[in-house]
Amino acid sequence: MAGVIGQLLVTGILIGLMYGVIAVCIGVIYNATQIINFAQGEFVMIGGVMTWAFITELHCPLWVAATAAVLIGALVGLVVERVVINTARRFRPPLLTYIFLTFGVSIILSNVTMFAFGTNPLIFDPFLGRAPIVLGKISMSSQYVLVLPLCLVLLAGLTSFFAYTRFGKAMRASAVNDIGARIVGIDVGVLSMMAFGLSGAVSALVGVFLTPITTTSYAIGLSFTLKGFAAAITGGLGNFRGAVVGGLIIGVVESLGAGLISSQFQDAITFLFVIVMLVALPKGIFSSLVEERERL
Amino acid sequence: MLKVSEISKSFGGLRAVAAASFELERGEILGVMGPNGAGKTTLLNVISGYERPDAGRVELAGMAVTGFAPHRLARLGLRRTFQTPRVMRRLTVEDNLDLARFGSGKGGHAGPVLAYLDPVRRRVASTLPMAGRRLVELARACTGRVDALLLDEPSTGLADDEKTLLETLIRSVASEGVGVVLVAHDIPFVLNTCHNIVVLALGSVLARGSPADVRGDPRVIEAYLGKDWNAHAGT
Amino acid sequence: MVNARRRALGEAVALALLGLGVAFIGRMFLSDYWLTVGIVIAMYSLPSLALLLLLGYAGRPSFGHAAFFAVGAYASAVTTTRLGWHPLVGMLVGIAIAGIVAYAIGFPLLRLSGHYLAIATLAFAIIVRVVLENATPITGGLNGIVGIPGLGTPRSAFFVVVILVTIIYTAAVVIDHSRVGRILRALGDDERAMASCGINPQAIRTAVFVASACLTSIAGSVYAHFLSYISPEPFNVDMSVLFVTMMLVGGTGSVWGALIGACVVGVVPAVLSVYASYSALLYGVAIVAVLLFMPQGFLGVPRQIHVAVSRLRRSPSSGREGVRGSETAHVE
Repeated sequence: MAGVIGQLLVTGILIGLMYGVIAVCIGVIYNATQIINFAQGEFVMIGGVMTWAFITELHCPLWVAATAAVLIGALVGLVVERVVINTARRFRPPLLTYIFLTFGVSIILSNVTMFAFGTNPLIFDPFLGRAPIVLGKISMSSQYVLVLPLCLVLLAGLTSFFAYTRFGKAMRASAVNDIGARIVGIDVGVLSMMAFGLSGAVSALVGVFLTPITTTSYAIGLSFTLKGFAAAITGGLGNFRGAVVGGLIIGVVESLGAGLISSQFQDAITFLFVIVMLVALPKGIFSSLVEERERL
Repeated sequence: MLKVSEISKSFGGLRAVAAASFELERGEILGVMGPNGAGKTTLLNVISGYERPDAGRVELAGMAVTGFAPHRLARLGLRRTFQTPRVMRRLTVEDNLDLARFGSGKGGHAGPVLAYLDPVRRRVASTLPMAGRRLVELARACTGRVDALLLDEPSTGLADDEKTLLETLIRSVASEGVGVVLVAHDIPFVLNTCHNIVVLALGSVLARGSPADVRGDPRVIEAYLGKDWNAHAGT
Repeated sequence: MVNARRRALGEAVALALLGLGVAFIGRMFLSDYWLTVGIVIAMYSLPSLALLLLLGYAGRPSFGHAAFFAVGAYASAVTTTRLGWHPLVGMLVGIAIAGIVAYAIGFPLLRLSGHYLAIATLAFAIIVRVVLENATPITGGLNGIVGIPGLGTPRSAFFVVVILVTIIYTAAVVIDHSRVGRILRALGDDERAMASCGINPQAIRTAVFVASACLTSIAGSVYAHFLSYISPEPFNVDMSVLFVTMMLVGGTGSVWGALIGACVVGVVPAVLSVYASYSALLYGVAIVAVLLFMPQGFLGVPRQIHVAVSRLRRSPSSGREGVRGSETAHVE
């Protein structure tokens, strides 16, 4: 029994780290623009699907495919930002509009992918080969081994980005006070583009690494969006550390729920947890960086 | 009739209100003054139920009402207006008031204000200029049961003649027995309209008294204008 | 006051006449194919109205209304096939369950704002679908339920459904012009102001949510009888998206908008015919396009044109308001 739980925990934590990275991406966009990107999961999906396409249809080596996928992810993010978000920004719609807009984008992206690549799940081999890794009683796909270093690198990279680069600092400033940021000359449009581009690229990379474990298909975006969002809220929307912690929690809950309670009801359990989190701790565990500003 | 004791409220690290207290009698117009960031609006929000205080009590006609929901307080007679007038944009003036009648009952003390709004009764509220919207808000707040009326910066955005009108209306409402708390930035307006004044600075009550007392109080002058003013200009 | 009442009556009568007209004339002249399209439009016009209440008036998004549609469908299916009850009773059962569920989840969820609620309703819809797929003894699991009593020939089904929808929509228009309608608009406009009048926003929000759930459930019941067979598969995010698209396309401001949205969206698969699988993509594009270019939906287009034209006409020097504005309406 301990072996089973151990296995569930390990895989849950590792997948959870990935959710955490997705949550950070959601947070990046939220901090820069106050928008919740409902299409975030589709960025992840695009990373996986594009890599599959390059490997399987264009017969590229893995690193070429992965790089291309990440670049495409960034590109899609930028296009979405310029074509949809920026156009909307012109007439300053209420935040609710952006929710529907990104939701519409997610539908467009997933359906286009469906028409291009069909409805079957797609997969490619784990990078280190198909042989599973065995640690004591725990046996899992070798891909999991790569997840940890990937996430650490990504998180470290993002942390430095926010701490040391001009753009990163500008994003943090904008998160705390967007009007103040604008007054000191920070260009919201540029910030927004960077946020979407960066989110797109990082999410795509997550998709690249996750696909050998979870497979990918046109429809998985929604699931990642919901879980990424759940992780983000659990930790506090916009809060970097919180996103990671939130991701870990969601990953573990999902894994334990599937393994111990029922794999059929896996989604239901995870999403029930999501709802409970939303209701119980809307500000998250670490309270969010950006308070919802209400002026009376 | 309205008693506020030791109200404190912080937002994260920011102490917005610190142990503020005051009392309001029937028919009294109490001004709440203070420089920017003094915590005036936060205090109003706490009293009217839109924020929960970290400490302190609010009593309405002897009944403890701390932390009650805004609509409940409204039904108990504690009404308010907002810094930026909040009218129901899609509804006409009439319908705005009808809403108040539905929620808070018939009657009230909106009479004098209604007289001014009569010509624009059928106008959709969003088409009114600032003065009109403030009047609609005031009328709405005075419709139905109103024992204590909290006005948040009602004179902001008004021209001089409109302010005079507002002053008259507030006085007439108070004369019918309603206690009025008037938060304002506009010093002459407050000094002219109020019976008594409470001055807030950095969240605490700095001074209390009649307009004449407060006007001459060096601490108040310092809070608004800084130490140097006192030193150089005298009073 | 008299004016408003007359307008309300006029609108209600117009709507009723339109509905009756469509019912009788359509029944006589439309082909079976278009009768079916009509039934689908009529059926979907109910969730469209439901979302008008929830989103257009109360300003709260829901991406999960497919769940209530499913509740209605399954309630009708189970009560008529397993219990042998009368379809109308089945529909009422569906309404009751939808209402109770909506009340139960509305309580915690409706306090959430905007994006939180959107996510929560999405999650809720997924949970419902998982339950439907797995509660096999009741719901038939992935196989669904067959043998649901049908609505008869397309002709009679069309007639019944259109009359039903006409009744509901006419009632909606009447309510819209009443104090209830004003309260709903107030909820969407400014909840804090509403609270300051003594009205409890949470109570109103919950009522709206419950009403929208019940309306959607009715449509679900119709769906079950229309197809005579249901499975969990269609009750997914795509369906919730469909509802949202309808409401956005028609314009979130009025009952007529909801109706138009349903018509436009309902006609799409028929128009696309062979390309019907592109429907979902089209809906996604429609959502984005409408929000970017026609935020008030089709009904708002005349006004948009009007505003654009008057902007072009107005020279830079005219149209300036005084510092204080005036007691007359703003220029736009």
